[in-house]
Amino acid sequence: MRSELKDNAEARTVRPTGSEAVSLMPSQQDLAAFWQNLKLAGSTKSREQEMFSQGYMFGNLESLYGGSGAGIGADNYLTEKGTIGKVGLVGTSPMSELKAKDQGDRQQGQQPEKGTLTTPEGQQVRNASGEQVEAIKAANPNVSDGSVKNWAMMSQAEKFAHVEKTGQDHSLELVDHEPSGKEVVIAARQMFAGAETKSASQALVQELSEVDNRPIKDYGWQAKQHGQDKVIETGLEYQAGKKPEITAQGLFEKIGALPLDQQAQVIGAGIKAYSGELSHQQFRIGVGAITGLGDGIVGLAQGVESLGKAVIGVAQFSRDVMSNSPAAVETAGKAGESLGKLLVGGIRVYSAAEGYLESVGAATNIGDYGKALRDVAWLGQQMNSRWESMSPEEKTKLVTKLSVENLGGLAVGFGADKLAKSVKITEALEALGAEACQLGEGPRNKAGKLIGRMLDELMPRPKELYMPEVPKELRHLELSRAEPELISAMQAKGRTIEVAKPGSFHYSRLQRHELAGSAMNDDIFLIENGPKIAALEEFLHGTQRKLPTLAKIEDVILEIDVKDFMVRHRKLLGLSNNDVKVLEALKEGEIEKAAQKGLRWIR
Amino acid sequence: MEKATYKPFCKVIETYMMNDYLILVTDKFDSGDYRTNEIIQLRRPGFEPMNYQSGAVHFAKSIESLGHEIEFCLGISGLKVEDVPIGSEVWLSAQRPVRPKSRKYEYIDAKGADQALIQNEKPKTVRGA
Repeated sequence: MRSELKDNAEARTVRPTGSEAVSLMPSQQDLAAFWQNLKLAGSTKSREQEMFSQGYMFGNLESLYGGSGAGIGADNYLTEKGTIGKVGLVGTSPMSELKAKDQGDRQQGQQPEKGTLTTPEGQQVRNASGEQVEAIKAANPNVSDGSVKNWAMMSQAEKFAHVEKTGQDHSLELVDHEPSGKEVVIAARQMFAGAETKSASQALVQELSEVDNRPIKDYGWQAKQHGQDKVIETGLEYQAGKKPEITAQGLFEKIGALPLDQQAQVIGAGIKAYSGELSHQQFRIGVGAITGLGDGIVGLAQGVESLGKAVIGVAQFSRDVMSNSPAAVETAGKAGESLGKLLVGGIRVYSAAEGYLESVGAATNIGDYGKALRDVAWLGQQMNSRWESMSPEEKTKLVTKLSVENLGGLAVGFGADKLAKSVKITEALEALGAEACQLGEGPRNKAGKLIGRMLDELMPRPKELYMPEVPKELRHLELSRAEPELISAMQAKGRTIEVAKPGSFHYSRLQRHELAGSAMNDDIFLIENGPKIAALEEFLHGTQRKLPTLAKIEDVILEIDVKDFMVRHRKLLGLSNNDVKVLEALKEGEIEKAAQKGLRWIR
Repeated sequence: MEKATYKPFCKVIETYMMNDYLILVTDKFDSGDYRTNEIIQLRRPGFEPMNYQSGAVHFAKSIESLGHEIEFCLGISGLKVEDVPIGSEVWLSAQRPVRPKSRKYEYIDAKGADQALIQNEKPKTVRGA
């Protein structure tokens, strides 16, 4: 390897010896002819001298402008003017001989063409400025778009992206092959027809979508007198050439500007409409009336539909979580998105719901939208509770992460920095939404995403994931009943025991929650013909409250403890095996609940 | 004397009477930080905050009710339904009592507890040890 390198190095440094150099040097006549021809080729003195000093020479100057080669050179060189000749290391043939040989290729007696240059047009062309040349080049319909160079520098992924972006999925290419077989694109031209077709189709789609969004004017009906006849005019008409008067965002902003009680009415009506208690038409008319937009513009319907879906998305999730429905897992994502959409519309969802419950709802307790808005308010309260339980570090970390992810450059200076310091996250998000509402579509969408992500993080998790499964074999066990003797014995201990009978308020309440009884201090409510373990449990809760050692213990521990006591004293209390099995299951449920609160029951 | 500070605990979503007690149905599903018979502060819209002696309602669950949650309820004597509007807030004293140690239970990390329960691991400490 070393010797080869040496050989190569020597080969690179080969220079003609002194005698050879002398014999190879051109004569004065040769040089004069050479200079003359070189000037014609537009060459320069320095360039020529450089070539000679390096021992190179042009094999055949006449071939500069397309003549035949002399058999010395090795490679063809491409310039803007075409093949200029062949160059190679100096061979053994003296230049004088070459010149003598080349004489035969020269076209003898040919007069140079002078006619064109002597005309004024020729002179004008010859003296054209650079700008004029560029203008003429630009006017050339066959001019290269430079795509060959650009295309060759692109990666495969960039090529696909470019094709997708520009619609250029076809082109005319002039291709050559290198000796290695590699394909080389010499020239290419984009097929504009294809690209135009694609852009035309996109334009058509856009046009069609605009058609679909056209507002419709509803004229209602009116009677007009035409001669002796009375004609009723009615119908709908496209508002051609107009943008929809009320977009979804526009409607949201309109509602967001309303007083809170009116916002609450819209939200409540939306929930009712989409839960089937109100027809969509009634809802549309209601929104039109509340916002003052009227119901004549059918285009309003699109915004109203969007509003209704967003509102029901929130309410549905609240209800699913409260009722431990498995559907809550699926509706959680939609609820965050829906809330984000409403908030960046400037609608203060939580404040409206809470305001309604505090005013109208509180006064009547059975307000029209009380139930629906209570769900929404409940959701906000749950999120605030979760937010309050987070440390300042956790809040800052979460807000910073989501701001950077969703707002990008907007993260600095936007209202997002206030989020981490807020006491009530719902109020802070409403303020952020109101701020974003004033911005353009881009920032507004980004803020909407941020709000949606924040809500996703803070929304209560469906509780059924953590609740113990009720053993199927226990669901129909026959349990001991609370006999009148037992109830009398409890009353003898100073307890007030009320048996809730069917039709009574307390019976309905206990039935609704599938409860066997409840106790408040010494007052016990038992469902009629209720289980013995329920009566005993409520009695023992009263006993617990009288024990100072248990005064500071969490309720959930008291629940476990009373059941544990009953299981351990089953014989004393006269409990059946079924009673004990149920108590054990209930106790395990409470232990699991305690674990969620960071408490482990020591067995 | 240092003025007692309070922190928000829950909101009232429903009220009803049970004998002489006004029962406040809250938006919480468990007692959380609340201690039975604790003095709470009731904040009603348009009224000054007032402190009341409270009690917690204990429910005797049936096996059917184990699968779903029931709202946490507080009881206050001497008040009527019309005295506490829906949406009123219940605040607890910010100064929480020191959690007593007990041989019946111990305080753990919630996540660790879940893991232990999932894996059916029995705690090392045994009752009476």
